[in-house]
Amino acid sequence: MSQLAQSIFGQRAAFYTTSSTHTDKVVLDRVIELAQPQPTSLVLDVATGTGHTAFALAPHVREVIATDVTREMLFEGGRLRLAAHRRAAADMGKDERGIANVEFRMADVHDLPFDDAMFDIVTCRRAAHHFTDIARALSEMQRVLKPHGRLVIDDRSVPEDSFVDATMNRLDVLHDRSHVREYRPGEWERLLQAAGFVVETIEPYTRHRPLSALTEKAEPEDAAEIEAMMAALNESQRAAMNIVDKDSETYMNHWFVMIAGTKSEESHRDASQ
Amino acid sequence: MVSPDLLEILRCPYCVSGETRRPGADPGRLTLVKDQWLVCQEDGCNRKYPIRDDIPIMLIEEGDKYRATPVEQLS
Repeated sequence: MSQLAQSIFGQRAAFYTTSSTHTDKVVLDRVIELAQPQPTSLVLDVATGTGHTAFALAPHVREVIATDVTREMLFEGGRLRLAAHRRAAADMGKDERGIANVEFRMADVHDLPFDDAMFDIVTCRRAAHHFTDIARALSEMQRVLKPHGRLVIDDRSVPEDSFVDATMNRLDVLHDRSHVREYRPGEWERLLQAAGFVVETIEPYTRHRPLSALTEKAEPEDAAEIEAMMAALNESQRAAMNIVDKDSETYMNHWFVMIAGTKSEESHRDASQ
Repeated sequence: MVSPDLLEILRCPYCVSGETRRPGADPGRLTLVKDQWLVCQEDGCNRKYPIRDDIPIMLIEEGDKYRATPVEQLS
């Protein structure tokens, strides 16, 4: 991940622990369901941020290793873990297992510091659109997975519509300059197959979000460009983005995709040759 | 304290990934030094990764910083 991403996430670490889009329970539950966790599973959660996904998976598995490239994000995660430890102790051990078995490593998804074929499950939530080389990142996730190991990715996405694709990607770069690209579901399918995965599930979904979600944390000149882009949209473009004015706020679609796959047998044979 | 079996699966990211991957079945093995450092065992790599507040810092640019530092001078 770029230095830009490191600096932006460093500033935003405290915000992310309370951000509703990053703690969406329905989405987390689906990640867990698709991951098919077992009590014996060793899980890698890449670009964990402050560890929402890692903590959610932890009660279901043996161990979660959570990585992030940004020190501030991991230390915020560590702070949450400590606070949870204390609560658990006060609560006579309740939920303790779900926290004690998460460990953090500072690592870059493009160069994962793990031996091959170590993990039963790799998860990656709301981060892949920041990766500077998505093919390499997927290839690394594939490398560290055991044969038939499961990959679950949840990420921002765009529909198979060139106008919405270009507009949404531009809006999100303005919202956060470390965004690289939000991929279409079809792109995800091709990327995963090329990286040696058997694709099981590609589930696009949307959330209707206020425009302030994009402008709030943006630089002032970027926020101004977002407002200008929105103002210039015609009726059919507004319909394509599902833009609705309500309660003195403008709402629009944000597109997401939930993906599950397994490391293909073929790629395992290739690796062992 | 980082658990020993989870340290065992860590490798030097430079020597295990991408085009810089070293040959062999298990490249980039690390040795724990002074309970605080993970030192790459590949010939000529010399990258050393610090463990801070129980978090191993496994970034290549971090390992690069200590390439010229002899193991005995790590603190």
